[in-house]
Amino acid sequence: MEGREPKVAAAAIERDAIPAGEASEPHSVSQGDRLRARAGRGVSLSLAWVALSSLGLALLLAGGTALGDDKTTDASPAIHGSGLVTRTATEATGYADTDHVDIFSPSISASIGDDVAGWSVGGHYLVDVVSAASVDIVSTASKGYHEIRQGGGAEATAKLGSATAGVSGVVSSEPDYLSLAGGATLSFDVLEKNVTPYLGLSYGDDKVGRTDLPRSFWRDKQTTSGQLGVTFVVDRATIASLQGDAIAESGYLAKPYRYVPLFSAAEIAAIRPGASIAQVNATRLAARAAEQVPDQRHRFALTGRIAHRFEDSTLRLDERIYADTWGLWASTTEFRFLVDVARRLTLWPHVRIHAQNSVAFWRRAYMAQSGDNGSIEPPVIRTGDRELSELVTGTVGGGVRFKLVDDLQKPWALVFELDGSYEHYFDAIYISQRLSAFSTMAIETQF
Amino acid sequence: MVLWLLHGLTQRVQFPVVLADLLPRLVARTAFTFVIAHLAGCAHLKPYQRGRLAQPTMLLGDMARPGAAHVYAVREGAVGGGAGAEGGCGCN
Repeated sequence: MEGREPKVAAAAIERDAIPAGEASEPHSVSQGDRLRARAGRGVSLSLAWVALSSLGLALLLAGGTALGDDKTTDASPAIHGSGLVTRTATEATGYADTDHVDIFSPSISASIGDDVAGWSVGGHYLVDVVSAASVDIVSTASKGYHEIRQGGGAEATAKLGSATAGVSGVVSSEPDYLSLAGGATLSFDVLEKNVTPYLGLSYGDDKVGRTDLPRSFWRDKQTTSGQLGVTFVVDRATIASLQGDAIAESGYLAKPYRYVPLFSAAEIAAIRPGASIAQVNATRLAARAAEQVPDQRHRFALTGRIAHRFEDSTLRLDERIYADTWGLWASTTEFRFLVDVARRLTLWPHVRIHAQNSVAFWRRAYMAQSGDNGSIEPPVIRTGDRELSELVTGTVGGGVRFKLVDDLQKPWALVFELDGSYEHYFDAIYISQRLSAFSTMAIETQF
Repeated sequence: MVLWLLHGLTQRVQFPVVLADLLPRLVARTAFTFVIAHLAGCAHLKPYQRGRLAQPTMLLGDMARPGAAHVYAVREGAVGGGAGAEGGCGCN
């Protein structure tokens, strides 16, 4: 199932600490230099992509409005015609933030199927090019890294009477991470297709390592996901859904490159939110501890969605409530208003607000105890992952879809999206806020 | 819900872990109530009455494209709610 891949990406992108200043940390200096040298190119590439996408968005808005002067609404259904249909999508995304993390990710996907007979098979492939010189990396005396992840998958669906079944499998590989996952889904049309209950199950097995460790030393991580939901027609212009997710993760859930600074009881009070690298390094103990978190995490999410169609526009509202056994609660609210401003052109503003508290074991600064023989004993559970701390994220942006071919049977389209985000961390060291930009350009074809 | 959480954040409320253990029951009861309430008032439309529901923008999948979903999954401590066996409008 698709849901596996973000987790894999998370491991890649969040690997924001490649210690080079500790004798016990095995990354070689020569490798660090090589990575640093390559990181610069990735930063430039991603920033250029965000700028190029912004320019493209502006041009498309100007050109699309001029070309699409007929405001007749395209009331064509989501599924066009009959017989075999081939769909392809080519997408490129760019991400850059003020913490010097940059991602460029091209991807392709294709499927073939028969909408009337009710079957399809498809696949996708993507590459993530990640360059990072974040504050967590810099704080460990390294200047950054550059990494490429490749991922792909295949899926198939078939309609069996009033039921639709689907299976999927994905694989993702990078130098220090390997993920394999598979899943199945099942949905039913009931009450004359006015209600569609659905369920899904997936299982994933990941291998987590370091680039300098033989595979035999890599750790295991298992993820089992269950999903149960229902989509229902509210009225002639409104449709809604409610979905529950339960995700069980077990095994090695920490980040293998992440090290946590430790402080003495006398100094820990001096570490305030947003304390700089210099302040932390001047105060912390010489030793740092590898991140260590519980080896099980049960996560639950309840998501409600509603869409309402006006004459020439669609309003979408999503709300997700989340909680897990690490004590993290979160709310994610998303709004999108898609307006058909012309026959070929659809525009939408987009707002997303995410707020969460911290996990129960989160500490801005962890205090080490002195052992009997003079050794330093860190807390058993410790993390430096600020995405586990109290934070609020606001995202504002928009998108545009322009029909390249004005043909109901061949709805080729060009899509641009551009979003800007602001994150505030209430109780983390090094940084208290982060700004980022994210853009996507996609070409969708059907024939 | 957002305001409640924001209030909790600003007050630095640390929710006890035990509440997370209660969530499955809370989710089940909320979902059951929500579904029953909406099914009771749910419209039973014929195919020819679904013109607006058939708009491509009315599909209730995850609004985020795959690339955006990657970014959100990395930068937020929460996951879930992505499209699975996506329910549609019953147009096909």
